[in-house]
Amino acid sequence: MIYLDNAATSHPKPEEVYVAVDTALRSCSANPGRSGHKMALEANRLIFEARENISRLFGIKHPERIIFTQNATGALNLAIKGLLAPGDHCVTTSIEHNSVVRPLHCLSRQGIGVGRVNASEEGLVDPENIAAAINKKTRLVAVNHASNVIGTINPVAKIAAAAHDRGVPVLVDASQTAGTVSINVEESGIDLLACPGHKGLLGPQGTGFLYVAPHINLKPILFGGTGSRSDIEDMPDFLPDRHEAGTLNTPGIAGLNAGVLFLIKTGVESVFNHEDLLCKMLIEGLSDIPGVKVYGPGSCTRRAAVISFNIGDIDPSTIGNRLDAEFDIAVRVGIHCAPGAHRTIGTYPRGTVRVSPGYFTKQEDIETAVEALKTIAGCG
Amino acid sequence: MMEKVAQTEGLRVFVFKSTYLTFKAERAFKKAGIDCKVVTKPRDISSDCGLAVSVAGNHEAKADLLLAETGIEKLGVW
Repeated sequence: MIYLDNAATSHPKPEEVYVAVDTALRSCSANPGRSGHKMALEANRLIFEARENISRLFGIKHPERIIFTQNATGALNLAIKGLLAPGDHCVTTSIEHNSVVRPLHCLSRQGIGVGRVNASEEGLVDPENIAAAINKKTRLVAVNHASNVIGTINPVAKIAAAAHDRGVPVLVDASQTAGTVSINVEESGIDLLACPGHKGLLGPQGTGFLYVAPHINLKPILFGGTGSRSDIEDMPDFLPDRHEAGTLNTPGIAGLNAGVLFLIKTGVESVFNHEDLLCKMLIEGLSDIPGVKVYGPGSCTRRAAVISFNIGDIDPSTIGNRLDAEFDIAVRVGIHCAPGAHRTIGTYPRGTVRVSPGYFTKQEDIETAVEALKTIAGCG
Repeated sequence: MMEKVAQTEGLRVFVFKSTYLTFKAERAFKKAGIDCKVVTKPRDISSDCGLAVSVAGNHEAKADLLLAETGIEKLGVW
């Protein structure tokens, strides 16, 4: 199979990720942070190393402020529900994923105001518009780093600066950029960073994390055992324990750690350059097909490896089904859990075909996909 | 009681606020060549089910200095 659905979950993983998960499951899948026997301590060391390595990759100075979650959705829910209270206001954008839209919608029923800033048709969010949407009650700006529909990379450092000028912290959803686009939380002024482990970070599904800057204090949204301060009924007042109730996904985090180490060794910029080349090839190939419309930024410069398009009047699902059945090519079609993004680019409710290459995608794979699309379009 | 046990065994037990700091201390100690071991916190120190780092008594001062230098905050030494 030619797998071009890396924006949903990356595949394949580096070999060391498979080995790390297998090794952890066989040799140290005891309970980290609880017991003091050798196997539990090994599990603990593994979790500790993962926090340290993630910190290296993202320029984080306080690894203990990385909270492991089951995915970016878990991280975003923790940030949003942990920070906002009735009477507060949150500024977000028109191109967010449902992992931001839905928790905010839920909170809007509890007296929390939500202001949506429109992105341009190319998916760009203007920091000045963010600044203009902030009011006296605004406690959070929540933006994605790159759209999961069209890949447009937003200027998060400028957005953070505009929000900070007004005393408001910024939550960045890095679901489409973590591991594929360089991110330095300190330099960019990111207060809260939500990342999935199973996409660009090349780890297994069921992993993710939220980084919480030292000046941010979140309410816990999950309660339970932590292995620490077991004598009190409140959650501990220190991180990461305050937000990590229940047993962690040790084998998953072992795989995530291996993926992160792979990225540190390879270099995120190398990953970006490779995917950028593939995106340029794809856009060029698509341009030969009559009736094709590619959405989002005009060139591949500074876009995440997400290309959305339609071919004439052909239903996107027909294209997806034919690619899978006749050519063994995996893509994702529809509205990609981001109806607002599709409204922004004018493709709601029809949706698009989304092709998302990854680090292990070869140039030949893109050539094959373009030829298949030509056949489906009737010009091959 | 704990003081007596520690002296008898020639060990000092460093206690930290979190598991994260416990393992950060272990790594720093090992890097500096300080003989240490992560152990379950003795009940005399706390009723908590957490962990601590035991260090040979003759390494206590070196370990203490290292923690101060690296900014790893301990809750106490027993």
